[in-house]
Amino acid sequence: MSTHLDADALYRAHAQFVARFLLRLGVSGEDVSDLVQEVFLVAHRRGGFEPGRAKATTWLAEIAFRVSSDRRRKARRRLEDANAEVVELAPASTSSASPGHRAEARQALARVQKALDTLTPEKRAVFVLYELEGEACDAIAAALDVPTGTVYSRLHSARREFAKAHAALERSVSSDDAPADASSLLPSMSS
Amino acid sequence: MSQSSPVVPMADDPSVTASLRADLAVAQAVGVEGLDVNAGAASLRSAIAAEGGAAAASGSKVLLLALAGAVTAGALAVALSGRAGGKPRLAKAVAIPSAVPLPPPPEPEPPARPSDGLPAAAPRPSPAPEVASARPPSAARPARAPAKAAPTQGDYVGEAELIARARRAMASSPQRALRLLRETESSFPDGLLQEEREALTVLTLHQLGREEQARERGLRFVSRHPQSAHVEPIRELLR
Repeated sequence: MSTHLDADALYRAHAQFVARFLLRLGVSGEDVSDLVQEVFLVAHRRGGFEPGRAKATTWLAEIAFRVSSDRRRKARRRLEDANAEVVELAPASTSSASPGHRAEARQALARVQKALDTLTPEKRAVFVLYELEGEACDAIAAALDVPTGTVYSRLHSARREFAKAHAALERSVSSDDAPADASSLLPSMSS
Repeated sequence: MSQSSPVVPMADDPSVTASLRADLAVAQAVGVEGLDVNAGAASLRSAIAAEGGAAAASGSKVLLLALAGAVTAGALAVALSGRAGGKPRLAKAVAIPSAVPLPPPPEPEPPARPSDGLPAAAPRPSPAPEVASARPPSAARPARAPAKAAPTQGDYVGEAELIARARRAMASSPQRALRLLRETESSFPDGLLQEEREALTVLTLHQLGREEQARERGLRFVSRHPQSAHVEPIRELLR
């Protein structure tokens, strides 16, 4: 028991990571606070995180993946969340960045999110963890309880699909030639 | 590890287009806006405290453990059969995995509550929670039976689900949590989970800063349920 990372410390250390991962999986911004809470409650109920057994981030990511899959199935039953706070991804704040730079960064985020939307949940999770969070394939495999080879093959196929979707997005914007309407490019975060 | 040609991350892979690499670099450096970590941590503490005592308790306390997001008809069936037969199967309810979808309530089965003096319509079937939990989740349907009727197992599932939703909402929106708790109260005034509902209401009122109400209901809770698994955080709050 004493080796367990206390629930509060675990939350403080990784709530942002879990929120980011959920958003990248396509969970809507209104649901994120709720689901982050649920992820850490599930973590607690599983006996808490034991350092050494796994990596905290990928261990939590697996729980978050299950919780978000569950939420997708139940999405239609959600009625009362209209006024929940919205959690969203935002470009790293560089105070010196001009408004123009920030708008460009937001558009980049929107393109990434839309390209992610084209992946299956399993490939999406692996892609996000490896390409955006910098997790190692072995750690991802251990957390998801699949062979490392499966992680590689999901990753390869996710990369191909992601690049294709991204290229299509760029083409569609540049062929418009109109100044991109930033609001339409903001991540819809819908699943 | 056997298949270990290390993969160069796409953002560093020169064979990938520069624009894609640039977008990935932006995406790697994102922050999260709108998540209140202090409030979230506080809610998590209350939620854990509220379910904490349950692990060591028995009987109806099993239900609380089954509540927060991990509600399954199987767990409830186990808990209920435990109540009915006077033999709580704590270990089984605890072992049910979390974050599974809520399966539909099992076949309507009159709860065997001797005190109700219900006619013994059917021989009491031996509990088979695995059957219930093996069903697909799509047909999950919280039952809202009229308050006067004797509660059915479906009622417990509906009531438990509402309370679980309220508990989850405590993190992001105590206001919404309170609304859900009130809905639970009006839908299931004689519900089996009144004690849990009341405990969460006290904690939520406190979270909303409505101290006077929290105090009043907290005192009432302590006098009514001095042995409750939830009484400690409430006593704490009243100090």
